[in-house]
Amino acid sequence: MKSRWLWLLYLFSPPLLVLAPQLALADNDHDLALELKQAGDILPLEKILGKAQRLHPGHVLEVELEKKKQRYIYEIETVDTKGNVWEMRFDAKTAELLNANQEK
Amino acid sequence: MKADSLQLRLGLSLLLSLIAVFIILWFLISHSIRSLTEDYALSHLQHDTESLLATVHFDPQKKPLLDKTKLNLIYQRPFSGHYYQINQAGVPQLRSRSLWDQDLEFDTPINGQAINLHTTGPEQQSLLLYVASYTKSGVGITIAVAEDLSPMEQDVERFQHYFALTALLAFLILLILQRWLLMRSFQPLEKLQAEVQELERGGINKLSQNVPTEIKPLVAEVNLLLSLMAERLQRSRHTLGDLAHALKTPLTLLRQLADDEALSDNVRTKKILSQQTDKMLRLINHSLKRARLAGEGPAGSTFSINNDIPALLDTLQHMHKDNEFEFIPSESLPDRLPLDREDMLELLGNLLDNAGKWARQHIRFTLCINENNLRCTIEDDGPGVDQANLKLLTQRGLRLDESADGHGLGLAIVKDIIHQYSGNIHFSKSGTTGGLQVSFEIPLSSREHH
Repeated sequence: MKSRWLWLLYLFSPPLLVLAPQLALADNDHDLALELKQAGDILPLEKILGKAQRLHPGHVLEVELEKKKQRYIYEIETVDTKGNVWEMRFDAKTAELLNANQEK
Repeated sequence: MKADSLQLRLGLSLLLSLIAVFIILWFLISHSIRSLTEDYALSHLQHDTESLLATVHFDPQKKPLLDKTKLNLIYQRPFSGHYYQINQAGVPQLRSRSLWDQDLEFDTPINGQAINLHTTGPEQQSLLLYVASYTKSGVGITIAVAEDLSPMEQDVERFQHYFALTALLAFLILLILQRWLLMRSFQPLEKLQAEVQELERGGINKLSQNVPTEIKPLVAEVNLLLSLMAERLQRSRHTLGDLAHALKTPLTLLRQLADDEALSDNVRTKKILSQQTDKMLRLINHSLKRARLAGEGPAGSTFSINNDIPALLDTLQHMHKDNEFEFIPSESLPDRLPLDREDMLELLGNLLDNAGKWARQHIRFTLCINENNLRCTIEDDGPGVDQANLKLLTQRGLRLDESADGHGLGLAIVKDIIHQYSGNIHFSKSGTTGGLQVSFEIPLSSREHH
Protein backbone atom coordinates (compact mmCIF):
# COMPACT_ATOMS: atom_id res chain seq x y z
CA MET A 1 0.00 0.00 0.00
CA LYS A 2 2.34 2.65 -1.23
CA SER A 3 -0.39 5.19 -1.74
CA ARG A 4 -1.88 4.74 1.71
CA TRP A 5 -0.94 8.14 3.03
CA LEU A 6 -0.24 9.64 -0.33
CA TRP A 7 -3.33 11.80 -0.27
CA LEU A 8 -2.45 13.09 3.17
CA LEU A 9 1.06 13.94 2.01
CA TYR A 10 -0.48 15.56 -0.99
CA LEU A 11 -2.88 17.44 1.22
CA PHE A 12 -0.14 19.39 2.94
CA SER A 13 2.22 19.73 0.01
CA PRO A 14 2.38 22.79 -2.24
CA PRO A 15 0.49 22.69 -5.58
CA LEU A 16 1.77 20.14 -8.03
CA LEU A 17 2.54 22.39 -10.91
CA VAL A 18 6.12 23.08 -9.91
CA LEU A 19 9.06 23.03 -12.22
CA ALA A 20 9.84 19.45 -13.11
CA PRO A 21 13.11 18.27 -14.61
CA GLN A 22 13.25 18.17 -18.36
CA LEU A 23 11.95 14.87 -19.63
CA ALA A 24 12.39 13.14 -22.91
CA LEU A 25 8.84 11.88 -23.28
CA ALA A 26 7.30 11.23 -26.61
CA ASP A 27 5.51 14.49 -26.96
CA ASN A 28 1.94 13.51 -27.74
CA ASP A 29 1.86 9.70 -27.62
CA HIS A 30 -1.30 9.81 -25.51
CA ASP A 31 -3.16 11.76 -28.16
CA LEU A 32 -2.12 9.13 -30.67
CA ALA A 33 -3.30 6.39 -28.31
CA LEU A 34 -6.72 8.06 -28.03
CA GLU A 35 -7.02 8.29 -31.80
CA LEU A 36 -5.97 4.68 -32.35
CA LYS A 37 -8.33 3.47 -29.65
CA GLN A 38 -11.23 5.40 -31.12
CA ALA A 39 -10.38 3.98 -34.54
CA GLY A 40 -10.35 0.48 -33.08
CA ASP A 41 -6.72 -0.12 -34.03
CA ILE A 42 -5.62 -0.79 -30.44
CA LEU A 43 -7.34 -1.97 -27.25
CA PRO A 44 -8.08 0.45 -24.42
CA LEU A 45 -5.13 0.73 -22.05
CA GLU A 46 -7.36 -0.40 -19.16
CA LYS A 47 -7.60 -3.86 -20.74
CA ILE A 48 -3.85 -4.17 -21.22
CA LEU A 49 -3.21 -2.92 -17.67
CA GLY A 50 -5.75 -5.37 -16.31
CA LYS A 51 -3.78 -8.20 -17.87
CA ALA A 52 -0.50 -6.77 -16.62
CA GLN A 53 -1.93 -6.53 -13.12
CA ARG A 54 -2.89 -10.19 -13.21
CA LEU A 55 0.66 -11.11 -14.21
CA HIS A 56 2.51 -8.90 -11.78
CA PRO A 57 0.26 -7.00 -9.35
CA GLY A 58 1.63 -3.59 -8.49
CA HIS A 59 1.70 0.06 -9.45
CA VAL A 60 2.11 1.28 -12.98
CA LEU A 61 5.30 3.29 -13.39
CA GLU A 62 5.30 4.03 -17.07
CA VAL A 63 3.42 3.20 -20.25
CA GLU A 64 4.81 3.61 -23.72
CA LEU A 65 3.20 3.00 -27.08
CA GLU A 66 5.65 1.95 -29.80
CA LYS A 67 5.21 1.10 -33.43
CA LYS A 68 7.42 -1.74 -34.64
CA LYS A 69 7.00 -3.46 -38.01
CA GLN A 70 3.42 -2.26 -38.50
CA ARG A 71 2.56 -3.48 -35.01
CA TYR A 72 1.63 -1.31 -32.04
CA ILE A 73 3.25 -2.49 -28.86
CA TYR A 74 2.46 -1.37 -25.33
CA GLU A 75 5.44 -1.37 -23.03
CA ILE A 76 4.29 -1.41 -19.40
CA GLU A 77 6.54 -0.87 -16.41
CA THR A 78 5.23 -1.82 -12.97
CA VAL A 79 6.60 -2.15 -9.47
CA ASP A 80 5.27 -5.03 -7.36
CA THR A 81 4.73 -5.17 -3.60
CA LYS A 82 8.26 -6.53 -3.03
CA GLY A 83 9.76 -3.54 -4.78
CA ASN A 84 10.73 -5.37 -7.99
CA VAL A 85 10.29 -3.45 -11.22
CA TRP A 86 8.81 -5.43 -14.12
CA GLU A 87 8.76 -4.63 -17.79
CA MET A 88 6.09 -6.23 -19.93
CA ARG A 89 5.41 -5.91 -23.61
CA PHE A 90 1.97 -6.53 -25.08
CA ASP A 91 0.58 -6.48 -28.55
CA ALA A 92 -1.65 -3.39 -28.34
CA LYS A 93 -4.32 -4.88 -30.59
CA THR A 94 -4.63 -8.39 -29.14
CA ALA A 95 -3.24 -7.89 -25.61
CA GLU A 96 -0.93 -10.82 -26.32
CA LEU A 97 2.06 -10.88 -23.95
CA LEU A 98 5.19 -10.63 -26.02
CA ASN A 99 7.71 -10.76 -23.21
CA ALA A 100 8.06 -9.97 -19.53
CA ASN A 101 11.21 -9.59 -17.55
CA GLN A 102 12.54 -8.01 -14.42
CA GLU A 103 14.32 -4.87 -15.36
CA LYS A 104 18.02 -4.86 -14.65
CA MET B 1 -31.89 -8.64 38.63
CA LYS B 2 -35.62 -8.11 38.68
CA ALA B 3 -37.44 -6.11 36.01
CA ASP B 4 -38.35 -3.37 38.49
CA SER B 5 -34.79 -3.08 39.80
CA LEU B 6 -33.49 0.48 40.00
CA GLN B 7 -30.04 -0.82 39.14
CA LEU B 8 -31.32 -2.45 35.95
CA ARG B 9 -33.32 0.61 34.95
CA LEU B 10 -30.35 2.94 35.43
CA GLY B 11 -28.06 0.51 33.67
CA LEU B 12 -30.37 0.20 30.65
CA SER B 13 -30.91 3.93 30.19
CA LEU B 14 -27.18 4.61 30.45
CA LEU B 15 -26.53 1.82 27.98
CA LEU B 16 -28.99 3.25 25.45
CA SER B 17 -27.59 6.76 25.76
CA LEU B 18 -24.07 5.38 25.28
CA ILE B 19 -25.11 3.60 22.09
CA ALA B 20 -26.79 6.76 20.80
CA VAL B 21 -23.72 8.87 21.57
CA PHE B 22 -21.41 6.43 19.78
CA ILE B 23 -23.59 6.24 16.68
CA ILE B 24 -23.89 10.03 16.46
CA LEU B 25 -20.13 10.40 16.96
CA TRP B 26 -19.45 7.81 14.26
CA PHE B 27 -21.50 9.66 11.66
CA LEU B 28 -20.29 13.08 12.73
CA ILE B 29 -16.60 12.20 12.66
CA SER B 30 -16.85 10.25 9.40
CA HIS B 31 -18.65 13.12 7.73
CA SER B 32 -16.25 15.71 9.14
CA ILE B 33 -13.16 13.84 7.94
CA ARG B 34 -14.64 13.32 4.50
CA SER B 35 -15.63 16.95 4.02
CA LEU B 36 -12.36 18.22 5.53
CA THR B 37 -10.15 16.18 3.20
CA GLU B 38 -12.36 16.98 0.24
CA ASP B 39 -12.08 20.69 1.01
CA TYR B 40 -8.30 20.36 1.14
CA ALA B 41 -8.24 18.41 -2.14
CA LEU B 42 -10.47 21.03 -3.73
CA SER B 43 -8.19 23.89 -2.66
CA HIS B 44 -5.23 22.05 -4.25
CA LEU B 45 -7.20 21.43 -7.42
CA GLN B 46 -8.08 25.11 -7.53
CA HIS B 47 -4.42 26.09 -7.18
CA ASP B 48 -3.43 23.68 -9.95
CA THR B 49 -6.16 25.07 -12.17
CA GLU B 50 -4.84 28.59 -11.66
CA SER B 51 -1.26 27.43 -12.32
CA LEU B 52 -2.41 25.84 -15.58
CA LEU B 53 -4.17 29.07 -16.48
CA ALA B 54 -0.92 30.96 -15.87
CA THR B 55 1.09 28.51 -18.00
CA VAL B 56 -1.29 28.15 -20.94
CA HIS B 57 -0.64 30.15 -24.09
CA PHE B 58 -2.07 30.06 -27.59
CA ASP B 59 -0.72 29.40 -31.06
CA PRO B 60 -1.76 31.59 -33.99
CA GLN B 61 -4.80 29.33 -34.54
CA LYS B 62 -5.77 30.15 -30.95
CA LYS B 63 -5.21 26.52 -29.91
CA PRO B 64 -3.96 26.19 -26.32
CA LEU B 65 -0.37 25.08 -25.70
CA LEU B 66 1.41 24.04 -22.50
CA ASP B 67 5.05 23.83 -21.66
CA LYS B 68 5.15 20.25 -20.43
CA THR B 69 8.48 20.74 -18.73
CA LYS B 70 6.70 22.97 -16.25
CA LEU B 71 4.28 20.24 -15.23
CA ASN B 72 4.63 17.76 -12.43
CA LEU B 73 5.60 14.23 -13.37
CA ILE B 74 2.41 12.88 -11.81
CA TYR B 75 0.50 14.32 -14.78
CA GLN B 76 2.71 12.31 -17.16
CA ARG B 77 2.32 8.82 -15.74
CA PRO B 78 -0.72 7.09 -17.29
CA PHE B 79 -3.67 6.62 -14.90
CA SER B 80 -1.69 8.13 -12.02
CA GLY B 81 -4.82 9.57 -10.40
CA HIS B 82 -3.98 13.18 -11.24
CA TYR B 83 -5.40 14.61 -14.45
CA TYR B 84 -6.11 17.82 -16.25
CA GLN B 85 -7.98 18.67 -19.41
CA ILE B 86 -8.47 21.96 -21.25
CA ASN B 87 -11.60 22.40 -23.38
CA GLN B 88 -12.55 25.09 -25.82
CA ALA B 89 -16.28 25.48 -26.32
CA GLY B 90 -16.89 22.05 -24.86
CA VAL B 91 -14.33 20.31 -27.11
CA PRO B 92 -11.22 18.74 -25.52
CA GLN B 93 -8.06 20.44 -26.77
CA LEU B 94 -5.38 19.42 -24.32
CA ARG B 95 -5.30 16.38 -22.03
CA SER B 96 -2.71 15.41 -19.46
CA ARG B 97 -0.65 12.41 -20.56
CA SER B 98 -1.90 10.62 -17.44
CA LEU B 99 -5.35 10.43 -19.04
CA TRP B 100 -3.79 8.41 -21.87
CA ASP B 101 -6.55 7.12 -24.10
CA GLN B 102 -9.46 8.53 -22.09
CA ASP B 103 -10.93 11.95 -21.60
CA LEU B 104 -12.91 13.67 -18.88
CA GLU B 105 -16.52 14.59 -19.37
CA PHE B 106 -17.96 17.64 -17.69
CA ASP B 107 -20.35 20.53 -18.30
CA THR B 108 -18.91 23.91 -19.14
CA PRO B 109 -19.58 26.52 -16.46
CA ILE B 110 -20.09 30.12 -17.55
CA ASN B 111 -17.06 32.37 -17.64
CA GLY B 112 -15.60 33.21 -14.25
CA GLN B 113 -17.46 30.43 -12.53
CA ALA B 114 -16.29 27.13 -11.11
CA ILE B 115 -18.01 23.85 -10.30
CA ASN B 116 -16.86 20.68 -8.63
CA LEU B 117 -18.25 17.20 -9.13
CA HIS B 118 -17.62 13.53 -8.51
CA THR B 119 -17.13 11.24 -11.45
CA THR B 120 -15.60 7.88 -12.34
CA GLY B 121 -12.22 7.93 -14.04
CA PRO B 122 -9.87 5.33 -15.55
CA GLU B 123 -9.77 1.96 -13.76
CA GLN B 124 -12.90 2.87 -11.77
CA GLN B 125 -11.07 5.62 -9.88
CA SER B 126 -13.44 7.88 -7.96
CA LEU B 127 -12.49 11.34 -9.14
CA LEU B 128 -13.10 14.75 -7.62
CA LEU B 129 -13.27 17.27 -10.44
CA TYR B 130 -12.73 21.02 -10.29
CA VAL B 131 -13.89 22.80 -13.43
CA ALA B 132 -13.55 26.54 -14.13
CA SER B 133 -14.03 28.74 -17.19
CA TYR B 134 -11.68 31.65 -18.00
CA THR B 135 -10.85 34.04 -20.81
CA LYS B 136 -7.15 34.50 -21.60
CA SER B 137 -5.74 36.51 -24.49
CA GLY B 138 -9.30 36.87 -25.71
CA VAL B 139 -9.82 33.09 -25.89
CA GLY B 140 -12.42 31.35 -23.72
CA ILE B 141 -11.18 28.10 -22.15
CA THR B 142 -12.44 25.64 -19.56
CA ILE B 143 -9.85 23.98 -17.33
CA ALA B 144 -10.63 20.81 -15.40
CA VAL B 145 -8.30 19.30 -12.83
CA ALA B 146 -9.14 15.94 -11.23
CA GLU B 147 -7.80 13.84 -8.41
CA ASP B 148 -8.46 10.21 -7.49
CA LEU B 149 -10.05 10.12 -4.04
CA SER B 150 -9.95 6.31 -3.67
CA PRO B 151 -6.93 6.29 -1.32
CA MET B 152 -8.66 8.87 0.84
CA GLU B 153 -11.87 6.88 0.84
CA GLN B 154 -9.94 3.78 1.80
CA ASP B 155 -8.43 5.72 4.66
CA VAL B 156 -11.82 6.99 5.79
CA GLU B 157 -13.06 3.43 5.69
CA ARG B 158 -10.05 2.29 7.65
CA PHE B 159 -10.70 5.03 10.16
CA GLN B 160 -14.31 3.94 10.46
CA HIS B 161 -13.20 0.41 11.21
CA TYR B 162 -10.73 1.61 13.83
CA PHE B 163 -13.33 3.88 15.32
CA ALA B 164 -15.92 1.12 15.48
CA LEU B 165 -13.37 -1.14 17.16
CA THR B 166 -12.25 1.53 19.62
CA ALA B 167 -15.85 2.48 20.32
CA LEU B 168 -16.71 -1.15 21.04
CA LEU B 169 -13.78 -1.41 23.42
CA ALA B 170 -14.63 1.88 25.10
CA PHE B 171 -18.22 0.73 25.27
CA LEU B 172 -17.24 -2.47 27.07
CA ILE B 173 -14.98 -0.60 29.48
CA LEU B 174 -17.69 1.97 30.16
CA LEU B 175 -20.20 -0.82 30.69
CA ILE B 176 -17.98 -2.50 33.27
CA LEU B 177 -17.21 0.86 34.87
CA GLN B 178 -20.89 1.74 34.96
CA ARG B 179 -21.79 -1.58 36.56
CA TRP B 180 -19.08 -1.06 39.17
CA LEU B 181 -20.29 2.49 39.85
CA LEU B 182 -23.89 1.36 40.15
CA MET B 183 -22.93 -1.39 42.52
CA ARG B 184 -20.94 1.11 44.55
CA SER B 185 -23.84 3.55 44.72
CA PHE B 186 -26.21 0.80 45.75
CA GLN B 187 -23.91 -0.50 48.46
CA PRO B 188 -25.49 1.71 51.18
CA LEU B 189 -28.84 0.13 50.33
CA GLU B 190 -27.41 -3.38 50.72
CA LYS B 191 -25.85 -2.32 54.00
CA LEU B 192 -29.24 -0.98 55.06
CA GLN B 193 -30.85 -4.29 54.16
CA ALA B 194 -28.31 -6.15 56.29
CA GLU B 195 -28.99 -3.71 59.11
CA VAL B 196 -32.72 -4.27 58.89
CA GLN B 197 -32.13 -8.02 59.13
CA GLU B 198 -29.84 -7.47 62.08
CA LEU B 199 -32.57 -5.30 63.61
CA GLU B 200 -35.07 -8.12 63.21
CA ARG B 201 -32.62 -10.51 64.83
CA GLY B 202 -32.32 -8.06 67.72
CA GLY B 203 -28.59 -7.38 67.37
CA ILE B 204 -29.21 -3.66 67.09
CA ASN B 205 -32.15 -1.47 68.02
CA LYS B 206 -31.84 1.30 65.44
CA LEU B 207 -30.56 1.86 61.90
CA SER B 208 -27.31 3.70 61.20
CA GLN B 209 -27.87 7.32 60.08
CA ASN B 210 -24.72 7.22 57.96
CA VAL B 211 -26.55 6.81 54.61
CA PRO B 212 -26.83 8.82 51.35
CA THR B 213 -29.05 11.90 51.51
CA GLU B 214 -31.68 10.28 49.28
CA ILE B 215 -32.56 7.58 51.80
CA LYS B 216 -31.84 9.51 54.98
CA PRO B 217 -35.49 10.56 55.49
CA LEU B 218 -36.59 6.92 55.15
CA VAL B 219 -34.04 5.74 57.70
CA ALA B 220 -35.00 8.56 60.08
CA GLU B 221 -38.67 7.59 59.79
CA VAL B 222 -37.92 3.93 60.48
CA ASN B 223 -35.82 4.86 63.51
CA LEU B 224 -38.57 7.09 64.84
CA LEU B 225 -41.09 4.30 64.41
CA LEU B 226 -38.76 1.84 66.13
CA SER B 227 -38.23 4.05 69.16
CA LEU B 228 -41.98 4.74 69.36
CA MET B 229 -42.76 1.03 69.28
CA ALA B 230 -40.13 0.17 71.86
CA GLU B 231 -41.38 2.91 74.14
CA ARG B 232 -44.97 1.77 73.79
CA LEU B 233 -44.06 -1.85 74.51
CA GLN B 234 -41.99 -0.88 77.52
CA ARG B 235 -44.80 1.29 78.81
CA SER B 236 -47.44 -1.41 78.47
CA ARG B 237 -45.13 -3.92 80.12
CA HIS B 238 -44.55 -1.52 82.98
CA THR B 239 -48.23 -0.71 83.23
CA LEU B 240 -49.04 -4.40 83.51
CA GLY B 241 -46.41 -4.92 86.19
CA ASP B 242 -47.52 -1.81 88.07
CA LEU B 243 -51.14 -2.86 87.92
CA ALA B 244 -50.33 -6.35 89.19
CA HIS B 245 -48.27 -4.84 91.94
CA ALA B 246 -50.97 -2.38 92.92
CA LEU B 247 -53.65 -5.06 92.95
CA LYS B 248 -51.69 -7.46 95.08
CA THR B 249 -52.18 -5.73 98.42
CA PRO B 250 -55.96 -5.15 98.08
CA LEU B 251 -56.36 -8.76 96.91
CA THR B 252 -54.39 -10.12 99.82
CA LEU B 253 -56.68 -8.08 102.10
CA LEU B 254 -59.73 -9.55 100.35
CA ARG B 255 -58.30 -13.04 100.71
CA GLN B 256 -57.84 -12.46 104.42
CA LEU B 257 -61.40 -11.18 104.57
CA ALA B 258 -62.58 -14.55 103.26
CA ASP B 259 -61.16 -16.15 106.39
CA ASP B 260 -62.75 -13.51 108.60
CA GLU B 261 -64.99 -14.67 111.40
CA ALA B 262 -67.78 -12.41 110.20
CA LEU B 263 -68.29 -14.64 107.20
CA SER B 264 -68.33 -17.92 109.14
CA ASP B 265 -72.15 -17.95 108.87
CA ASN B 266 -72.21 -17.52 105.12
CA VAL B 267 -70.29 -20.57 103.90
CA ARG B 268 -71.19 -20.17 100.26
CA THR B 269 -70.00 -16.54 100.00
CA LYS B 270 -66.87 -17.43 101.90
CA LYS B 271 -66.10 -20.26 99.55
CA ILE B 272 -66.64 -18.22 96.38
CA LEU B 273 -64.66 -15.32 97.79
CA SER B 274 -61.68 -17.47 98.73
CA GLN B 275 -61.74 -19.39 95.45
CA GLN B 276 -61.91 -16.30 93.23
CA THR B 277 -59.34 -14.31 95.18
CA ASP B 278 -56.99 -17.31 95.04
CA LYS B 279 -57.37 -17.40 91.31
CA MET B 280 -56.76 -13.66 90.99
CA LEU B 281 -53.70 -13.85 93.21
CA ARG B 282 -52.33 -16.65 91.06
CA LEU B 283 -52.76 -14.58 87.90
CA ILE B 284 -51.15 -11.56 89.51
CA ASN B 285 -48.22 -13.57 90.77
CA HIS B 286 -47.71 -14.92 87.28
CA SER B 287 -47.79 -11.43 85.82
CA LEU B 288 -45.29 -10.17 88.35
CA LYS B 289 -42.99 -13.11 87.75
CA ARG B 290 -43.14 -12.48 84.04
CA ALA B 291 -42.27 -8.83 84.47
CA ARG B 292 -39.38 -9.81 86.71
CA LEU B 293 -38.07 -12.34 84.16
CA ALA B 294 -38.35 -10.00 81.23
CA GLY B 295 -36.25 -7.37 82.97
CA GLU B 296 -35.23 -4.24 81.11
CA GLY B 297 -34.01 -5.68 77.82
CA PRO B 298 -34.94 -3.96 74.55
CA ALA B 299 -38.37 -4.80 73.25
CA GLY B 300 -38.67 -7.25 70.41
CA SER B 301 -35.08 -8.46 70.55
CA THR B 302 -33.89 -12.01 70.10
CA PHE B 303 -32.76 -14.44 72.74
CA SER B 304 -29.09 -14.34 73.71
CA ILE B 305 -27.75 -17.50 75.30
CA ASN B 306 -24.73 -15.74 76.79
CA ASN B 307 -26.69 -12.88 78.35
CA ASP B 308 -30.20 -14.07 79.02
CA ILE B 309 -29.63 -17.54 80.46
CA PRO B 310 -27.26 -16.51 83.29
CA ALA B 311 -29.67 -13.71 84.25
CA LEU B 312 -32.61 -16.11 84.20
CA LEU B 313 -30.79 -18.71 86.27
CA ASP B 314 -29.77 -15.99 88.69
CA THR B 315 -33.39 -14.95 89.19
CA LEU B 316 -34.51 -18.57 89.60
CA GLN B 317 -31.73 -19.23 92.10
CA HIS B 318 -33.16 -16.43 94.20
CA MET B 319 -36.65 -17.92 93.99
CA HIS B 320 -35.48 -21.47 94.87
CA LYS B 321 -32.64 -20.99 97.30
CA ASP B 322 -32.29 -24.65 98.26
CA ASN B 323 -31.90 -25.97 94.73
CA GLU B 324 -28.93 -26.17 92.45
CA PHE B 325 -29.49 -25.29 88.80
CA GLU B 326 -26.99 -26.99 86.52
CA PHE B 327 -26.80 -25.51 82.98
CA ILE B 328 -25.18 -27.79 80.39
CA PRO B 329 -24.93 -26.08 76.99
CA SER B 330 -23.61 -28.14 74.09
CA GLU B 331 -20.52 -26.93 72.31
CA SER B 332 -20.67 -24.53 69.38
CA LEU B 333 -23.97 -22.96 70.34
CA PRO B 334 -24.45 -19.55 68.76
CA ASP B 335 -25.01 -16.63 71.10
CA ARG B 336 -28.19 -15.44 69.44
CA LEU B 337 -31.16 -17.60 68.58
CA PRO B 338 -33.73 -16.35 66.08
CA LEU B 339 -36.42 -16.55 68.77
CA ASP B 340 -38.13 -13.80 70.67
CA ARG B 341 -36.36 -13.02 73.91
CA GLU B 342 -39.50 -12.67 76.02
CA ASP B 343 -41.05 -15.86 74.65
CA MET B 344 -37.92 -17.81 75.45
CA LEU B 345 -37.61 -16.30 78.92
CA GLU B 346 -41.22 -17.16 79.61
CA LEU B 347 -40.85 -20.69 78.25
CA LEU B 348 -37.61 -21.55 80.02
CA GLY B 349 -38.56 -19.57 83.12
CA ASN B 350 -41.78 -21.49 83.56
CA LEU B 351 -40.24 -24.91 83.00
CA LEU B 352 -37.26 -24.21 85.26
CA ASP B 353 -39.50 -22.68 87.90
CA ASN B 354 -41.65 -25.82 87.83
CA ALA B 355 -38.60 -28.02 88.14
CA GLY B 356 -37.35 -25.85 91.01
CA LYS B 357 -40.67 -26.30 92.81
CA TRP B 358 -40.58 -30.10 92.66
CA ALA B 359 -36.87 -30.82 92.84
CA ARG B 360 -35.26 -31.94 96.02
CA GLN B 361 -32.00 -30.17 95.27
CA HIS B 362 -30.77 -30.69 91.75
CA ILE B 363 -32.01 -29.50 88.32
CA ARG B 364 -30.27 -30.40 85.05
CA PHE B 365 -30.83 -28.02 82.16
CA THR B 366 -29.29 -29.00 78.78
CA LEU B 367 -29.41 -27.06 75.55
CA CYS B 368 -28.23 -28.02 72.06
CA ILE B 369 -28.94 -27.43 68.40
CA ASN B 370 -29.52 -30.52 66.32
CA GLU B 371 -30.21 -30.28 62.57
CA ASN B 372 -31.41 -26.72 62.94
CA ASN B 373 -33.71 -27.66 65.82
CA LEU B 374 -33.26 -26.16 69.24
CA ARG B 375 -33.41 -29.02 71.76
CA CYS B 376 -33.79 -28.39 75.43
CA THR B 377 -34.14 -30.85 78.32
CA ILE B 378 -34.96 -29.97 81.92
CA GLU B 379 -34.76 -32.74 84.54
CA ASP B 380 -35.32 -32.64 88.28
CA ASP B 381 -34.73 -35.09 91.09
CA GLY B 382 -38.22 -34.63 92.51
CA PRO B 383 -40.96 -37.24 92.95
CA GLY B 384 -41.75 -37.31 89.21
CA VAL B 385 -45.08 -38.14 87.60
CA ASP B 386 -46.51 -41.63 87.19
CA GLN B 387 -46.79 -43.27 83.77
CA ALA B 388 -50.51 -42.66 83.20
CA ASN B 389 -50.32 -38.98 84.04
CA LEU B 390 -47.17 -38.50 81.92
CA LYS B 391 -49.22 -39.48 78.93
CA LEU B 392 -52.00 -37.10 79.86
CA LEU B 393 -49.52 -34.28 80.40
CA THR B 394 -48.09 -34.72 76.93
CA GLN B 395 -51.46 -35.11 75.26
CA ARG B 396 -53.62 -32.48 76.83
CA GLY B 397 -51.51 -30.40 79.13
CA LEU B 398 -53.76 -31.37 82.01
CA ARG B 399 -53.17 -29.55 85.18
CA LEU B 400 -52.09 -32.18 87.62
CA ASP B 401 -51.24 -29.75 90.31
CA GLU B 402 -54.26 -27.56 90.80
CA SER B 403 -53.18 -27.07 94.35
CA ALA B 404 -49.58 -26.05 93.68
CA ASP B 405 -49.01 -22.32 93.40
CA GLY B 406 -49.27 -21.10 89.78
CA HIS B 407 -48.05 -24.29 88.19
CA GLY B 408 -50.99 -25.05 85.94
CA LEU B 409 -51.13 -21.68 84.28
CA GLY B 410 -47.40 -21.82 83.54
CA LEU B 411 -47.65 -25.10 81.69
CA ALA B 412 -50.50 -23.81 79.53
CA ILE B 413 -48.38 -20.81 78.51
CA VAL B 414 -45.43 -23.12 77.79
CA LYS B 415 -47.58 -25.16 75.43
CA ASP B 416 -48.86 -22.01 73.75
CA ILE B 417 -45.34 -20.80 73.02
CA ILE B 418 -44.17 -24.21 71.78
CA HIS B 419 -47.18 -24.38 69.50
CA GLN B 420 -46.53 -20.87 68.22
CA TYR B 421 -43.04 -21.92 67.09
CA SER B 422 -44.30 -25.24 65.60
CA GLY B 423 -42.27 -27.15 68.13
CA ASN B 424 -43.15 -30.13 70.30
CA ILE B 425 -42.87 -30.94 73.97
CA HIS B 426 -42.48 -34.28 75.69
CA PHE B 427 -42.76 -35.38 79.31
CA SER B 428 -41.03 -38.47 80.66
CA LYS B 429 -39.21 -39.92 83.62
CA SER B 430 -35.62 -38.76 83.83
CA GLY B 431 -33.00 -41.45 83.48
CA THR B 432 -30.30 -39.44 85.20
CA THR B 433 -32.00 -37.63 88.08
CA GLY B 434 -35.03 -39.85 88.55
CA GLY B 435 -37.61 -37.06 88.59
CA LEU B 436 -39.66 -35.50 85.79
CA GLN B 437 -37.95 -34.85 82.47
CA VAL B 438 -39.39 -32.19 80.18
CA SER B 439 -37.86 -31.89 76.72
CA PHE B 440 -38.91 -29.66 73.85
CA GLU B 441 -37.79 -29.02 70.33
CA ILE B 442 -38.22 -25.82 68.31
CA PRO B 443 -37.30 -25.67 64.62
CA LEU B 444 -35.07 -22.69 63.87
CA SER B 445 -35.08 -22.91 60.11
CA SER B 446 -38.63 -21.67 59.53
CA ARG B 447 -37.81 -18.57 61.50
CA GLU B 448 -34.52 -17.98 59.74
CA HIS B 449 -34.13 -15.18 57.24
CA HIS B 450 -33.65 -15.98 53.61
